[in-house]
Amino acid sequence: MLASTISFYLAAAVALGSALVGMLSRRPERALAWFGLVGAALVVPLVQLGAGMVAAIELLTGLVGLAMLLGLAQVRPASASARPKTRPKPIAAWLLAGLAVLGLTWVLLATGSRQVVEAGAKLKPGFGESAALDELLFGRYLVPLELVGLIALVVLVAAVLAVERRLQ
Amino acid sequence: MISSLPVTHFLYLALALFGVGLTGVVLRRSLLAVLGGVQIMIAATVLLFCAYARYHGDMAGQASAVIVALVGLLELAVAVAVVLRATASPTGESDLLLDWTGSAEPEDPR
Repeated sequence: MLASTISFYLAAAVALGSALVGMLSRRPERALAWFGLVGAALVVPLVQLGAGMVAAIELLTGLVGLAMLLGLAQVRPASASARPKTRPKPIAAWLLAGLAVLGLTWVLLATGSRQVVEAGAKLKPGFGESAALDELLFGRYLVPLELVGLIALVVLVAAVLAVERRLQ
Repeated sequence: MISSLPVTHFLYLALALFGVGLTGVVLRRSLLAVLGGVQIMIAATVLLFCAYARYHGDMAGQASAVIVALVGLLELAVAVAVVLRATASPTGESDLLLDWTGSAEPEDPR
């Protein structure tokens, strides 16, 4: 087994395990830490796919998102009545979720033993380099990128206006 | 370093991660867990785009993945702003989130 295969399986196990533990965790700080580990573990498969730049951007956006969620975890509602009443989940829901996760894990493990080889297209020289990605983003996909930037500006203004009363 | 692993490995990993995120979004009631689940689903989508980019040998998939990651962060920013706005209300979330048909009519704050 090659080192790249071992590292892929290790990263996949860490990502899936962290996602599961984070989802089951009852303490917000711990859950967010596990979610952060998911983002860090996903760097390995992304780099293996030749998407190092995407991995860096995904890691950065994930960290910013985690910081926002961590801030949200410290917020307490203004009134006690805002806290929702908790009621126990039906056991069928847990059974269904467990079966789904088990099935997905089995599929993932079965893929490794099946030796499915998809060669795919032949990669051009320079594939995965940040210069090629920049050329695409600021060339062929300039308009979508500008639109995302415009939406980001609108979102920031809307978010600031939405919490303005809270800040006052 | 581009790995020689079959692209199906990455696709199934993305599928499994998306499934875990979706399960959390559907089953958990905690807002933080739901938003974290959405982030995991977006990360799985990014992985999927990059896997197909390598399979087809076209970097347009990676460009799309970058845009998806950025839009995911914006979605989270909107969610956080809405929650902050809701929790700042003196009556809790009631006047912001309970305005669906059939629920109690919220009072007009103006």
